[in-house]
Amino acid sequence: MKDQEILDKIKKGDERALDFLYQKYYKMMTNLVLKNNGTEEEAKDVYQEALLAFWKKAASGNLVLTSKISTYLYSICMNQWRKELERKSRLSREEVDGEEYQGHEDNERLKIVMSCIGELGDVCKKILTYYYFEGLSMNDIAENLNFANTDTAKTKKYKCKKKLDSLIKSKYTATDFFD
Amino acid sequence: MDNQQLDKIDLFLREELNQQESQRFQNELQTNPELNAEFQFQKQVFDGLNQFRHSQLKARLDGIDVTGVYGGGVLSSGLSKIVIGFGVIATIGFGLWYFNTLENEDLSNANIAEIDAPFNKEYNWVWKIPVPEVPKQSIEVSSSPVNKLNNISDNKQVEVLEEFEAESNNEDFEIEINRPQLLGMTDDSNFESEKISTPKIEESEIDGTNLSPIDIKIERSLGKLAYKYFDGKLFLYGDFTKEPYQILEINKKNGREIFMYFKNEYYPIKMVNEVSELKQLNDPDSKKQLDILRENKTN
Repeated sequence: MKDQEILDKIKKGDERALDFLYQKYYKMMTNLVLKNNGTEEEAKDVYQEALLAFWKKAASGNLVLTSKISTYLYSICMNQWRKELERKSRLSREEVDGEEYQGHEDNERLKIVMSCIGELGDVCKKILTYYYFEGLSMNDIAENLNFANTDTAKTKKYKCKKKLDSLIKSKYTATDFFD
Repeated sequence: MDNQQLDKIDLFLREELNQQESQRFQNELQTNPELNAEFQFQKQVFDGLNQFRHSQLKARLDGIDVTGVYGGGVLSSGLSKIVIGFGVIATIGFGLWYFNTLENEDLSNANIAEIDAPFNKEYNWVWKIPVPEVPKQSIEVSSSPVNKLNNISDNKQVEVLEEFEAESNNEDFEIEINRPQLLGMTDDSNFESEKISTPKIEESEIDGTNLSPIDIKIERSLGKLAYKYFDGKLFLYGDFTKEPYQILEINKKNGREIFMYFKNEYYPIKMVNEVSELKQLNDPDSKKQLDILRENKTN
């Protein structure tokens, strides 16, 4: 598969393109971390994060590729690993007590949101994640999920979002989001 | 909160506002607490959806086998590919050499082969191959596949004689006889003729025999004697059913020559893939050599 074909598939939300890229460059990308004091697990994590960042950007249509996909992925991996090394280094020097409480609160809210997403039906999950994560257009969502047209996709997205919002609000206390 | 404001929050979170619109929206957030509260909420939902999808895709990647050929296996190394390539070429080369050697050995052992194959109208095969050292053997082949093939009744008998020829006295050529493998024909009790399924062949077209290095087919459609010989198969046209014929094969220095002896005449057989008339041999020297050969055989 050529780079342009891969990009076209990603723009349509075809996850097989993601699988293909993951397998194709796994060794190349993980070696970058492994040869720079990283473990197998860290290498895998860095590559997955880099690939998902690439996937998200490519799916949204915001990616203007001026090099090969492999080169682009390599640069993301390199930056990710550099950041990770810096984070590790910072963690070993600083105290993070002050940030802990706020982080804990955010995590609790995130858990509630995610559990509510889990309660949605598959179609709603797909519509909302395609729209907010991949940034797919309504037209692509309609095509991907075999809806009759874009308007159908828009209506469904609106209903799904409304349902999710009300589910979350019902689980939040008033202070959770009006503080 | 109206839908227009919710749409604007969506566009901001999806980074679809231009710089000016984005700045205006952020200013509005500062001055409108209700909008700000809804934005905070929507941002949490947005983050949750992102996190959810991220985890989904990560789980998908975790499930992919990365020990395959794509960049992860032994084949990813250029050197490995070259080594494997050489290995494959070497294996093919050795195979070709080996089989070629075997073929040449077989040919060197088969200097001269000569078989008489008389044929009559009742499809009784009578082989007369004189062999000084080997005694005559008579066998019944009433239920053999050959008879079955030619629609011969079960009571027909075939007499098979074999003979080995040592060396000819003639200095111009050497004669060796390929001994036909008759072991399988001496006892046909193992043949289960009832169960054998053979293709139906027209009576006018009879395959010669497996004992001969040349496949012989006879057709009686032409009035004159003619033949066609190519690809190791000899096709005879004419009435060869009245009297037996002999196929004589001689290896000379300049190559192999094949002759047919029929009704006291010799006919050279050339490699032709078109039906050609059988022409009598006129060269007295060649005739003499063939006479000696035939005489040695029959004595």
